[in-house]
Amino acid sequence: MDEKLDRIFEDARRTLSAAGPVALDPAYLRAIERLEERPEAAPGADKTWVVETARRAKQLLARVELLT
Amino acid sequence: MDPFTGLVAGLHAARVRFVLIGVWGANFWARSASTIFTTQDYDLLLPLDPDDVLRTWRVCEQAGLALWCGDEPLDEPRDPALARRVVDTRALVRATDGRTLDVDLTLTMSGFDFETVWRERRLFRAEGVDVPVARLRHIVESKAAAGRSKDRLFLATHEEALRDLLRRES
Repeated sequence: MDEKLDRIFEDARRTLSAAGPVALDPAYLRAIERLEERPEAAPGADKTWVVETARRAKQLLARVELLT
Repeated sequence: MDPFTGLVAGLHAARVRFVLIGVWGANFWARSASTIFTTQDYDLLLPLDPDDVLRTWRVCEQAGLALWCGDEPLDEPRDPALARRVVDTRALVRATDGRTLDVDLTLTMSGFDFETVWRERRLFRAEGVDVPVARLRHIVESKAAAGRSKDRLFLATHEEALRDLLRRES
């Protein structure tokens, strides 16, 4: 897990240091198309859980206090 | 009902055309909470139509949301002339309850026009309300076109999460 996080943060550091339009990897775009075609992404799919997740996250962040 | 869902229902009732874009638009395409990205604001793309803009403001005000443009409250009177000015300048207006609901009412989406995004939108349901969401591909390509730091961070993380997901399933 730590290695994965390190890789994500390293990617983030590298990308943040650049500017301007980003070239998207064709494999990434294919993965998006696969995701868009999944049953749970069909028109009318119930996404109430997304709204509930947003509400919980915002309530949590609203309660965060700076301790030090 | 969640305040955002309530706002969406109000916009439908007022016959406003709008599409959820940005990070929360992408979140509606997520398969589980593990791939949800948290950010405070929702981004609603509106057409370059003063009537739609004006009706959106009225729905927001009826929902108790304050309207801001930049660092100041949106000018008054909030009439067709002001809506026209906002459209002409592509100004961003923010609707907020000052606590947990911030909604950016945007007239631009990098690399796309409203009609393209509207035509290919996906209607999801949340709390019984239809939520029009931009195609994930449009959201991602728009972020790539904008290329701001926060877009790059999103793309790097989203690509990783998506690849992990599909790798686990294959």
